Amino acid sequence: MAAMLTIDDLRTSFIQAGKKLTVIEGVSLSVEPGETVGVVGESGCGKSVTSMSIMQLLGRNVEMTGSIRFQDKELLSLTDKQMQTIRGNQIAMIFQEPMTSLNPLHSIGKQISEPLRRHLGLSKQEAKRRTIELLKEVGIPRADEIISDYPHQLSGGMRQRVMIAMAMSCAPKLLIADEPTTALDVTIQAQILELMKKVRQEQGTSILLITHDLGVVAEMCHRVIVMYAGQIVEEADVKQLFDEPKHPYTRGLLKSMPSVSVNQERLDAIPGSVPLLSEMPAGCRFAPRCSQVMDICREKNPELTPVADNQKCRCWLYREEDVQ
Amino acid sequence: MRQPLLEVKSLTKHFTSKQGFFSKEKVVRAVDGVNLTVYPGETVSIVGESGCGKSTTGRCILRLIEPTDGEVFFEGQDIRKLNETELRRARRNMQLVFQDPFASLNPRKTIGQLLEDPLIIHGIGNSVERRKHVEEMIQIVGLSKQQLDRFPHEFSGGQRQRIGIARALILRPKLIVADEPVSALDVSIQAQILNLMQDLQKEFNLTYLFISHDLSVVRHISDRVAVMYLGKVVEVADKQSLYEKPTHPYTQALLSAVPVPNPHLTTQRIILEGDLPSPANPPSGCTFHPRCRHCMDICKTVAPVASEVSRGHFVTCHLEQS
Repeated sequence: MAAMLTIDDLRTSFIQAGKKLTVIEGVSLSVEPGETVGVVGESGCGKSVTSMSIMQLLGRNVEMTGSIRFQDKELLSLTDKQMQTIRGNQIAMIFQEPMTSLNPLHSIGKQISEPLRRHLGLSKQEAKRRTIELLKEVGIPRADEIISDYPHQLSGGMRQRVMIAMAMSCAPKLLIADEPTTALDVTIQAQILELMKKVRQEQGTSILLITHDLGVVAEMCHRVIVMYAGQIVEEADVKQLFDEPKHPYTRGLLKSMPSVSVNQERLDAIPGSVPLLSEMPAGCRFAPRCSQVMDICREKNPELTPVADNQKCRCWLYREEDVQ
Repeated sequence: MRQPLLEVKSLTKHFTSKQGFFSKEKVVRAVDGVNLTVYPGETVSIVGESGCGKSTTGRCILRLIEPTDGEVFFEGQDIRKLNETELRRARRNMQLVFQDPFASLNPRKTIGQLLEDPLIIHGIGNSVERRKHVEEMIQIVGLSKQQLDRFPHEFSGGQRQRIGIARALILRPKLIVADEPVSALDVSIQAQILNLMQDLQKEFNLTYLFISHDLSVVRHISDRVAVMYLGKVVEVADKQSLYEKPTHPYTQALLSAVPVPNPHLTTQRIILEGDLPSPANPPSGCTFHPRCRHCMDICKTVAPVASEVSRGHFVTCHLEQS
């Protein structure tokens, strides 16, 4: 079966004051129909910019090269108008902060019915009826009253349900969820994750889930992509990644997390911090923080290569034949 | 019998808000009768979701917000009875580390000035001694002397939190109230800061009151944990007892909601229905009853009191009283 989304060697750069800052360096990934792929990494690793590149929401001062194919369409060669017929219709997005991503001046009902009217051509009455149905599906009580409420009248969890209702309104084939539960309390996060699982099961939606929370990844994803400083450093099936993480960064990330189920004496922190865009190391970008760093790591950046079935890693440790 | 360093009794903070000139005053019960004891050298955490009153409790203890009622004893002295001069003197021993390392450092002052300010305010040393003190402190938190003349914006989030900790520590306080000190940080940086806080605790014999919503972080750093819900402490216990035998239905739901980073596990999750009720209009009886899966008739009308289920493990729930 053909992939739902295939990204090949994507490079996204911001042009600022005549200077080019490359934020995404050669990202390649694919999402199969019905699959949930997680993209994890810390702030500044480029996970959100990847999702914004797919949706082409980055504005004018941006240069994108490579290829982003959605089913059989090359998104990077579409005009703005053509992109508008896909965005919110076949590809939908849930953002992190439901307070800033909903329009405070429009009622909930108006915001959900907008894509219904635009993409599906429903009449005002039909759109209203469908909006109420959608709100009920995402578990919002008193849906027929809520449609005339404004975002500030709802709690964070309710607003995120509204975002999901809006994203699912046109039955998208691909859902991009960018930190969908990060702003929420843990009991509300549990509600929203259950809801996303239900939606996925009922509609067979492919999901690209962007998060920094490895707990959420373990629970939701089939496959995981780990990003560091604008590049993919590891890609694996979810069980493989947690059982046998290969890249020193992935290992460090897993070890630095405090656990809710066992007591630990001390956490294994990764020393240092993520390099600035303008000060990227010449070799492997993780080399300055890596505990297993070798000479070659400081000189040449390794390629992302297969290291096991369904697992790829960008690290010299697994490329001994090249090192010698 | 150990003497507690901090003892909080029936601490209450009610905020009043008026919607309009003629409308009735609304009372928001942010903190509603909190009891808490902290012994020297231990780390006690307050954990709960947004709006449960954990930050307000922390601030009331330092009197950054005036409590409405209750008593706060620090080394046997009632903080609420102190006048301004006495309070300032007492604060030398109790300092706060804030959540947001971007908002809590004055952007117009250098790190050196920021760290020196508390010493000036408390009249400690002359300028040479103070500088020496500041230089020592910045190295203790893992930064270098050369960085003292820089401004906050030149530092990353993790480094800024180190500065925040250095500022709190420079007066050598006995108690540090840390309000979500690692919530704004990435997990690899969070681990650095948690390790630093543990090292400093040993080195300076510090007592921490740690406020957080993150149950994994709390398990890692605490000796004892208090769980808050709608302005009240619903369960207090030592860490082991709380995480292995959570007894209050809210604590059970809270712990089961944390996603576990193990894809082989399918968690049996207790999903709480609905949202947190407004503290301006809390439910009658036990405030958790509308969301509780064990709700009985008595819960709707009578507020439960704390009972000891095992040594040092207190639960405020009717289930434990029958």
